Order: sequence, then structure tokens, then C-alpha cells
Amino acid sequence: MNEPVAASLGEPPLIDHRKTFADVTADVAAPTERMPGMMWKAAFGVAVVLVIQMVATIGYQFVNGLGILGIMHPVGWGTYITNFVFWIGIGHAGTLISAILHLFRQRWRTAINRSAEAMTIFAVMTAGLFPLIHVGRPWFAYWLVPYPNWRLLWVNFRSPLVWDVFAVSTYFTISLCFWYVGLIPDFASLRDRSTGWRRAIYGIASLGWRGSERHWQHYERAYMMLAGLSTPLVLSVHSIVSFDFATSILPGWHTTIFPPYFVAGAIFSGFAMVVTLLVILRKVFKMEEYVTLLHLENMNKIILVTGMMVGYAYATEFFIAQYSGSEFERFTFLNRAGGPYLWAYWTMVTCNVVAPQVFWFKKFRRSIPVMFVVSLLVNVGMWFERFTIIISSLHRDFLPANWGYYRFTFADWSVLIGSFGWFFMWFLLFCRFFPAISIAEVKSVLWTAKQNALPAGKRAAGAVHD
Amino acid sequence: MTTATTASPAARAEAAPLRASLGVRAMFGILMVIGAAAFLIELGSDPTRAYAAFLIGYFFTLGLALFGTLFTAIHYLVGATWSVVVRRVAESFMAYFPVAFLLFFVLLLGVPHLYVWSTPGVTAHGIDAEHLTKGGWLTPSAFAFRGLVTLTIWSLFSWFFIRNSTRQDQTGDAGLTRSSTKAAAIFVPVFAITLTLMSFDLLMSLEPLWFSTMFGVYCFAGLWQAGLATLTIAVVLMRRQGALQGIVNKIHYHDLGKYLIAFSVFWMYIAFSQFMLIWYANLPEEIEWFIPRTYTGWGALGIALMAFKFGIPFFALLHQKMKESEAVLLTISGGILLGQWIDLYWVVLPAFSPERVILGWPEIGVMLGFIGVFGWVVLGFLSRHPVAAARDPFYERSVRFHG
Repeated sequence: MNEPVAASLGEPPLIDHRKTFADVTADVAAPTERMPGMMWKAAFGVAVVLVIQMVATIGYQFVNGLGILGIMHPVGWGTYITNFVFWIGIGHAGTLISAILHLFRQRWRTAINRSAEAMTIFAVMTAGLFPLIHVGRPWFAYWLVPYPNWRLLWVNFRSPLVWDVFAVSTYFTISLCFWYVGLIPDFASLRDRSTGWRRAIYGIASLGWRGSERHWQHYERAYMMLAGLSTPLVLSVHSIVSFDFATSILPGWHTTIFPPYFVAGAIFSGFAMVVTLLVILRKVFKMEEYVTLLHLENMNKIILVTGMMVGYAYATEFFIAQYSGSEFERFTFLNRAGGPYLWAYWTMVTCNVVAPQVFWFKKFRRSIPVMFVVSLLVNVGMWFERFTIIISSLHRDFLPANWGYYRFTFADWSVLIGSFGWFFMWFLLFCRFFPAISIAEVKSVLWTAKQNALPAGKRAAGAVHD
Repeated sequence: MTTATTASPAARAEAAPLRASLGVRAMFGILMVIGAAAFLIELGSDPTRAYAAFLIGYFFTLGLALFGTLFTAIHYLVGATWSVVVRRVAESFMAYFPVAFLLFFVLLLGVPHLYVWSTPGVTAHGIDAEHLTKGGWLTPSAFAFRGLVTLTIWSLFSWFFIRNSTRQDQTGDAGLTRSSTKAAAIFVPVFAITLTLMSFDLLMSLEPLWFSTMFGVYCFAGLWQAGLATLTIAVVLMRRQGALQGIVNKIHYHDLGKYLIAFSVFWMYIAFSQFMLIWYANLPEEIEWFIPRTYTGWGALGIALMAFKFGIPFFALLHQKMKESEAVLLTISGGILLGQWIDLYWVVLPAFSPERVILGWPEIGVMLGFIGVFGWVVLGFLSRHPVAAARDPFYERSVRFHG
């Protein structure tokens, strides 16, 4: 087809056509080769301080017990589980971008997959903290893992909490492998540009990559296989997290739509986090030419779609609660929207369903301030979604004698804020020492690369040939 | 997106209307007669059974028509290029909507026979009318109203997509693609809401005490998978017959195969989640739906369902060569359609015969009749319009598509 029509139907080039292969390597490697600026140092300092105060609180909790938290009767699952579900959800965008968009041949993913995958790994590392510190006797946390032991004690394989252990650890392992495999050629690029001890470290990390044809062949095959393995994980992990709730018989938790609803919510919140991070990253590390408005616009479209999916789930739950005729179902949902936690419920609806609707308009999809605000709202809204599901379903038990109101204590606040510090600490380290954009993959979508793929006679003048 | 280099302009295929043989038309005509006869004969002896068979066939074919609209809408919306060559075939499914509209009135005649909530006084379940009709949500007039409004919305969107697409055949105007894309953005959320309510009304309310928030998604998973299978069968047959020769290539087959395998997994995921959560919690008001469906002969049908919709397509289509083989695609798609029929059968009939599987000429005959009507309408549409949207701005890119 003729290119003007394609452009008018919304297919602009992914990256400015004047960029050469050498430019890409130089631009992406730059942040790892100079001392970071004041912005980075200040942000890193804040993150580390937040982590230190969280570690102090956790230590205090280990000594004094879970009583220092807000959890009480009947709300036995509080912020820790809310945070766990929230952070696991954040990770999903990375896997979707790297695996599913790869299978869907969405070439625009090349500029954002590296940072999104990094985000996945750090989000799962953050999420993993919460079950461990919530188990009461964290020094026995290894009991979650089934291992042969002389007392012949096994975990309860019928418990979805155990499925979680399998699902999350598989997810982490595969995501880490996928991310690392993608990094190998880029580590080699950094190695070739550096000297001294940095060269030695990047050299070890690049596993002897020489960029030979055979290396690339194996690399592509491994990458494709890991993409295939990661794809079901996008669905399975948050489905199993949703089983933690939905296998129970508690109204508000037990409903069949939970698995796909949680998956959609996870992708939704994950993309919001990617937008938040990338808006900052592209500015601070001057990567606006790689992470373009096109990438951000596409992600905003996904935020709009998944936002409506969670809206669909909210509406279906409400409708069926009424339709079911069960007075407990009806009460639970009316209590959500009009009970003591109505502020949490309506925060959730406003942030998750109403706010993303601005993305119907191209102008707002491409506006950095608008998308930044919406992405933050979505993050807030998705945290409140988990809070609403967990707390509002628990706080009024079947008997009014078992009714209560759950409140945060200093410890809940400390660990919640600390978890953000922990996540950003890792992400900032990643931006400093790792190529934040996949050098090798971005090169494949350059205009120059496309020209080189054409027969010699058809190449445009000015294309660089290797 | 890929840049095509190899195909020369001379190889550009022209899309013409389908020239269907008289034999194929006659076959669909005979099926229609069989269906009408089976339905009318059974109506005399056991109207409930006749209308139950009608409901199965109706939902089956309505799902295929709806797939046509949704497939078209989604592929406009995401700007897909590979699928342009098969879009017209999907659009032809939408031609069934006027028929679906008319047949809905037949279904309305069956409401007193099919749905216990329609005559709440008569039932001896000891359940009050308020509970059975969901406080007035389920009444014959509300059912008719929601159904007609929904069918009108679906028909209007379908008409709009077809109009734009066939007008583009004449003008080649890229603005029509933009206009359809906008309509698609509205259609997709509207579809989600309307299909959910339709599936609750037509199928879930057969046993009005049962409820599942997943049911709308379950019906979507089923109709999307069955639609993909029908599309695949139509595309393969039309390429063999010659109409799509030079337009559809192996890569398009590969993509259709990937679609089939992906959505067989999706269907299983949704079906398993719905079943497992209800089985695990074992609440009386929910599990009562699965008890007849997992014991007796219905349980065996449930296993067959999993085999046809998930087990066989998943393992058969894992390898790329299999996804590109016409014989494999035809067989697997046929199996999926059989699975969709078993699925609806397994959803509908235990409401009337929880103890025993009933299968006879009424069920088979009426289903054949619906296949006949659907095939006749689709064939008619494809004989009037070119089999591919040859002046779509992405058409050439789609024809030369090589992954």
C-alpha cells in the first residue's frame, strides 16, 4: 500500500529515521557510563531511607508480633495482603509487553520491554516480601515449600495459598530468565565500550557473547521459547492470586469472574506503572527519541481497554449480587458502595473506571501531564480495589457481633511506604547499571535496518549499510 | 509490520463474488427443510423439547453472526493488517442478523415452555415468585424487550460495518476505514454488556436460581472460538474452491491456527475457573447447576466437551506445520464446532432432563436446520459481494503478508 495512506491511518515510524545503529548504542549506554546526576542521587537516597525505616518496622514486628498492625477481628487480612496483590499485579504489564506483544508482532514493544520487564522483576520481589512477613513466624517461611522431611509433613496441596507459592516462584524464575536472556547481547555491547573492572563485570554478565550468527540463532530460539512460556504465566499468576479469595465462601470474595477480572486488573495497574516510570525515565535519561509519544499512546489505549474490563467486572458483580437473590451477597455489595468503606469503593471506581475515560481522546492519550496524572490515579485506584475487596468483605461478618472497622497503624503505613522505596531502589539501580532500552531489538526496527533488508536496488539514498 | 518485497504487481489477485455450485446451495436448502420438519413435528408432541432444541441452534448461529461483527470490529480497532483478506468472510456472517431477528419471535413463542420464571405460579419448587423472577427482572415482556433492543443494536452496527466495507469496494476511500474504526470502538464495550445480558436471559435463566458472574465471559469464549472455527472452515474451503486462491496464503492459515489454539486455551481457562471455584466452595445454590452436568451421561458429555474444545485442538495445533495444513485446520475446526454444539446442549438440556441425556432427531434435525439457514444466508452474501475487501487500504499488504 502507499505510505501516505498508512501514515494517515496511524502508522508513524517507530523511531526517527535519522538514528543510526551507533547512535542507539551510544544513547542507551550513556547513563551507565557517566556518574548519575543530582536527581538520581536524591531519588535513590529517599528510596534507601524508606527501605531502612521499613526494615526497622519489620524488625520491630518480628519481636513484638503481628499485633502492631491494624489487623484485628474480623479483619485478619489487612494491608500486607493488599500490598501483595497490588505488587504482583504491577508485574503483569512487563510480561504482557515482553511475551504477548512479542507473539502479536507488536514491534513498538522493543523500546519499552526492557524497563517493563525490570519492573516486573522488582514488583515480584516487592510482593514476595508480604506473605513472608505476614506468616507470623517468618523464620519458618520455608515450610511453604514442599520438601521431603523426616516427619513426613507436607504442605496442604489443596490450599490456594500453596498454589500461590508455586505460581509466584515460577513467575519470578521465568521472568528473570527472560529478562536476562534479552540482556545478554546488550551486556556485550556495554562490555565492548567499557574498560577496567566495568569491562570485567559486563564481560562476565554477557556470558561470552560474540554476536556470531550461531549465537543469534540460539538467542532468537531461546527468546521465542521463553515468550511462549511466559504467555500462560500472564494469565495464571493473577488467576491463582484471585483463587486465594474466590475459593472461599465469603460473599465479595467468592465469585466466578475473579480470575479474568484479576488478570485484567493486573495488566491495567501494570501498564499504569509502566507509564508512570517511563514518563520519568525518558525525561531524566533523555530517551524521548526512543520512548516516543507513540509508545505512550499505545499503552494508554491498553489502560483504557483494561480499565473498562475491570469496570465490566465491577458491574457484573453488582448485578449478580442483586440477581442472585442471596441476602448476604446483596448486603456485601450495598455495604461496599454505601457502608463505612464507601470512600474506598468510590475512590476505586473514580480512579479505575472514570479517570481512564479521558483516553478516548487522542489529544489526552498523547498529553504527558494528562497521562502522568491518570497513571498515578490508576495506581491509587488499583491499590484501593484490593483494599476494598479484602477489607470491605471481611469487616462485617455474617453476625453483627462480628463487625468491626479496620484502621491503619503506623506499622501499616511504614511498610506500605517502604515497599515503594524498596521497588524504586531496585529500579533506580537498574537505570544506572543496565541498558534501560533493548539496544539489539531497537536496532531491528530502525529505518536503516528496514532499508538493509531490501534488495540493493530498492534502498533509499542515505541508508547506512553494515 | 513487514515490508513486502517479493510479490510482483502481476500476481495481485482480483477478488470476485463467490460462484457457489448448485449442489452446495441445494444441500443448505435440504438442511433447512429437515430442520423445519424436525421442529414442527416435535412441536406437536413435546413443545418444550422442540423449543430447547431451537434455543441451542439459535444461540449457536447467533453467536457466529455476532462473531462476524466482533471480529470485524476488533480488527479495525487494533489496525490489524494480516486479517484484511479474511475480513469479508467474517462480514458475511453478519448477514444472518435479519434472520436472527425474525427467529427471535419464534423463540418468544417458546418462552412459556422453556423458562420457569415465565409462569411463576405454576412451579412447584416452593419458591416464591419474587425470587424466581428476580424481583421482576425476568418476565416475558422484559425478556422480549431486552432481546429486541439488543438484536437491533447488533443489527445496526453490523449493517454499518457491511455498508462501509462494501462501499469501499467501489470507492477505495480510506475514510471509510476510519469511520468503521470509530464505530468499532463503540461497538466493543456495547457488545460486552449486551452479550452478557443476552446470555443471562437466554441461557442462565433456564435455571433461574443459579448464577455465575463468569457466565457472560464463558459464552463469549465459546462463541469466539466457534466463530474462529467457522471462519477457518469457510476460508479453507473457499481457497480450495478457488475464490480465495492467490489471496489467502499459508501465513494467514498459520495465524488462524494460532488464533484457534490460543482461544481453545482461553475457553478452557474460563470454563475451568468457573467450574473449579463453584466445585471448591460447594455452595448449595451454585453447585446444583453442576451436579447434573458432572454426573450421569451429562458428565461424559462434559468430558467430550473438554476434548473437542481444548484437548484435541491444543495438542493438534502445537506445531507450525499443523497450523498450516488445510486438512488439519478443517478437522480441528469441525471438532470445535461439534464442541460448541455439545457445550450449548450441555448447558441447556439438563435443565429439563437432569437425570438422563436425551438425544434424538429433534435435537439433531433442528441443529441441521440452523446450519442450513446460516449457510444459505452466508453463501448468498458472498455471491453478491467480492469475497475479499480488495480496496481496503491494507489489502495489498495483507495479500503479500509474510509474517
